[in-house]
Amino acid sequence: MDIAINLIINGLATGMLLFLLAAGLTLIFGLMHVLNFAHGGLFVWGAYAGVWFYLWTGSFLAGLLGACSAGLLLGLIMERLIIQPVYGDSTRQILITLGVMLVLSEMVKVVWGPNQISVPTLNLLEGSWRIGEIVLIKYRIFVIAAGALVFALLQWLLKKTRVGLIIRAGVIHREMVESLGINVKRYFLLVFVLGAVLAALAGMLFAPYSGVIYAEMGMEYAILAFIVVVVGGLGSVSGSAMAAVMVGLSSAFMNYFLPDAALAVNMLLMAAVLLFKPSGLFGARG
Amino acid sequence: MLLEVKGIHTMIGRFHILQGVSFGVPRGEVTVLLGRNGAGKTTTIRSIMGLSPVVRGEVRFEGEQIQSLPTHVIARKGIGYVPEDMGIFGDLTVEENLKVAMGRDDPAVSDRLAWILELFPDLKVYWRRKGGQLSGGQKQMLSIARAFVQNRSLLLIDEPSKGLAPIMVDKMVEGIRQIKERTTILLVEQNFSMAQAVGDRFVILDGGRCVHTGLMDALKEEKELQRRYLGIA
Repeated sequence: MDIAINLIINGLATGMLLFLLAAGLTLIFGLMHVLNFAHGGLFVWGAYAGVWFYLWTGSFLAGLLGACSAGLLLGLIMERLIIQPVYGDSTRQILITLGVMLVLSEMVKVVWGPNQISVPTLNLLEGSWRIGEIVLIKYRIFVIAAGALVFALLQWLLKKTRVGLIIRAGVIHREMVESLGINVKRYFLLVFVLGAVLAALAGMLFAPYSGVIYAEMGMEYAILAFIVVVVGGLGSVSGSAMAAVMVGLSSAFMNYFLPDAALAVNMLLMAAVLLFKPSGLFGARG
Repeated sequence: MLLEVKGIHTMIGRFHILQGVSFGVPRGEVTVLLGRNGAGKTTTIRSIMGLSPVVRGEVRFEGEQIQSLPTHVIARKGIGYVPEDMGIFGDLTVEENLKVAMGRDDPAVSDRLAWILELFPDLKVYWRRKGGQLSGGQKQMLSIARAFVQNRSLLLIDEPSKGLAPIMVDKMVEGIRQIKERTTILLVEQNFSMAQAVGDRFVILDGGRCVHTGLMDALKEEKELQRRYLGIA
């Protein structure tokens, strides 16, 4: 029983991190049909920049802010210099964003060295709570809460604000939104930068959770995030949230009972969705 | 002339769809684009809106060249667009569909909204229903209302009668008659009786060229033109 609960908590925490990555990816694709393979690079840079601030100042909050700033800056530069020139050309987009992914991963090694860096948990969130037989690791609960908070904020942005209304309309029918006199590219910049910040934030939250950070973690998590985006339905934030929890839980359980097959099971899930319900399990109607 | 189209050529992929289309749209009237399927009517509308790139020729709106401007800038100059597929945001409610067009609170816009909801009361009834759940006629009304509330001086409406039941077509005729009192309209229409009911002028396209223009009343007598270009026996 306690194993099951622990695995559920692990799964939820992983799911929330995946959701932070997938939310940006799904909106970026939904609005402009850009597949951003460099998203994992933002995750790594968020983690490294954040941890660097965290270890330097000793403040986890400074680390979170540092990660978000790195995401903001990299997101702005990427959208303006790299994505803008290749709008509407998916082959070039795939090639250039994959290239950026490799460059970002390698640059991490140049700046911070090739070895993994260990990250201590912050004092406040160290240890665990015990309820009867069940042990709840504080930091994991914190990650779950942070993910839920971001989900709530995104829902508010999308459902209650004019910016969100235009983003939702743009995901459904971009040409029509432009015909109504709205400059969709400006909203896309906003979505892209927001996605970059969320990816960087996920990287920083991941660091104390895993205890170490390394350059290859970007690719690992980006693959899972792509699975989440496809399973949840391209362009759907709440679909991504549900799919992220699903993939997170399946990873947690598989990693415990049959670790060698963990990624394969999620890949199979994605393949099945692509074959039988390509709009995603929770995809919004267009 | 509110809008002047001068010798425009438009390519879609490697197909040369418009091969020098020219006509004018006078202020305060309804001009109807007629012609068989594939004549280039929708491409003409999309070229004016900046959605299909014009490779040669010019489009002037209120005297200003607009053919190389991005779509959202063309819209803001004062052109509203009701596309053939109606462009409804299916997952958004009727209210939200209109709100995308309305922007910040503006009393003039609210007045126009109140007016168009009187004209199309169905929209009030289904105010909170999702756009995707409306009938074809209701979607058409929503699409026209959405373009109308923006207070554009020219509305481009692409085949409003397409796929509608006869009773809905009658409602649409009545709606467009009312709207034309307030806005200039360029209409694409295959349904000749509807075109006659609302149009002041006509432009006939054939094979990507403009082959005839004139007053709608005169076209009624031109049985030969009707037979050749509109397929009316």
